[in-house]
Amino acid sequence: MKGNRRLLSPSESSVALAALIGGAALFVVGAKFSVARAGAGLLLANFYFSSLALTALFFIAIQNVSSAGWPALFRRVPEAMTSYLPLGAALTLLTALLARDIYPWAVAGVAQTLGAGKAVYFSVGWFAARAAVCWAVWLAYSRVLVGSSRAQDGAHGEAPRLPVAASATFLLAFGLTFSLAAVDWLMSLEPRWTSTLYPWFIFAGAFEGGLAAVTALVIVLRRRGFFSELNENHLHDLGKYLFAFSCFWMYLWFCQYLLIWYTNIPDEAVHYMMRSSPAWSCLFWSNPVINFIVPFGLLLPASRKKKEGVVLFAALLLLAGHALDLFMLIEPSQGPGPRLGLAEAAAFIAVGAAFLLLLDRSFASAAPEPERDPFIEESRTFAGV
Amino acid sequence: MATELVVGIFRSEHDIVAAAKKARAAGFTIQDAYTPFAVHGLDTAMGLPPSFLPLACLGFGAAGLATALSFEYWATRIDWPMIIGGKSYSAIPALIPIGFELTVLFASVGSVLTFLLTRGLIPNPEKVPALSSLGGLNDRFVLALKRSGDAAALRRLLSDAGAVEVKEESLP
Repeated sequence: MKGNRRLLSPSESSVALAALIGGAALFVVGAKFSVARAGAGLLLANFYFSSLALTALFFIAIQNVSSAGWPALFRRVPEAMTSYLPLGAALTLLTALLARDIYPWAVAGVAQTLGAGKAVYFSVGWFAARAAVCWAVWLAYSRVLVGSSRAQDGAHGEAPRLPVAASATFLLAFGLTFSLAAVDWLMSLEPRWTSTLYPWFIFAGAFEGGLAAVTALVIVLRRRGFFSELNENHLHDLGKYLFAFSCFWMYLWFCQYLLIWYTNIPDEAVHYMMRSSPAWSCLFWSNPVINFIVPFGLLLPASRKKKEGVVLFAALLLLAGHALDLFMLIEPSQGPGPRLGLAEAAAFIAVGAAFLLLLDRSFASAAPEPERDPFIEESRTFAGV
Repeated sequence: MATELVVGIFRSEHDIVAAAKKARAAGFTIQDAYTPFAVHGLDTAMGLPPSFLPLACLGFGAAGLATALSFEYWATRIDWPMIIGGKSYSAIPALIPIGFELTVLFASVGSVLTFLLTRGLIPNPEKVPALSSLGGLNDRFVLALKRSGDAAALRRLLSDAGAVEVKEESLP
């Protein structure tokens, strides 16, 4: 039916492979100059692509739990995105090995100055153990959820629907483990600073990024001859998702900002003092513009959520916005002003190329549409809500 | 003057959507559809123009935001200037939560009231909903077409589209 069963053409795959190898080589060169910058760049790149892969799994689980039929047609896209997870686990291990260069608490003697509870919590061993627990949970659930979807293809006639109980327990487990990851991997960059809202905020940005990636990939694949039955109602729903979670992200961004601004306690305010200082303020204030104001205006009318070009543009903008958001969470703790050098760029390019290559391989390894899924007909004739 | 109708009564939402499409394609005029719940895609199948409600909602939301911000500004800077927590008068972040809440309040309440008023849905025990005896409020899906020209063709179209019953009715 489709001549080309892959996302990437052979030449694009070669470019991605070259970007992976070149990026990895440049990353090693960059690490020779500054392990700290390379480590922070790796943390950003790995958190970015891990968050896309994880929230793709989260997206699938939500659809299973809510018996939503409309996304069945393109469900193989978020499934393929989860193929990054094993690499994400490996790179997290690498981050743990570089912890002394990235995290202030990992420097000998610092954890003891942070208070009794934190002194126990912040050790590289414990950090790695918590990361291992998170990754074990995520990898196990991705195996179950993606595996049961792949198993549908071999069924005769209509296959059973995807497991609801596993999806529901994943949503719970994900809430706990992702909060832990947000605190451990990002918030601990400033170990004296705490915000109870932080994991929510990180989740909002991550889910927005995952939704934007799913949306952009679905549209690109449609333009390349896949998903011929995907209609404007699917786009409308994806657009609604992007719009809603853009608002949600902004809501939490502002919640955290407002409380800290109002109380003005030095221990808390330092987080924003740093980010609104002249060196950072331009990027700091572009963040809500890119992640909320522009998408809000673009996606507000229903008619525009049904236009492929508009939705694709919004999705790409939000993908860039998610990177900027993480940049503004990680980099201000690393230096006095924004730096985008060899190590940071190389890490992002190499990990991104790996993400794309894994995604392409995974997407090609199964039928592009789950033909045996009980919801596939409902999805193909989806007439909107 | 009474409107003469031919109504088709359907068992499922899929049938009524398909029948509405067919009736429009055949050039008949759809008077209305009566369904127990909002049927996805029925509005486009009936050829209804886009609703003005989203625009009204936007207007109410903007009015809510303007009300909140202007009142807060007036209250904390003009009428009774106060310094709270060392912030300047009418510091913008402090105005946002109320602005957000009133935007949502005005937009939601305004949209619902606009909908009820313009659709004639204000509760009234005297009023019997149109064609309610046909089951469109319970478990049936009722498509009412204007009776015009070839009534036999109209009836045939409805029964071919899967109507379990075809009736002639009139609206006062």
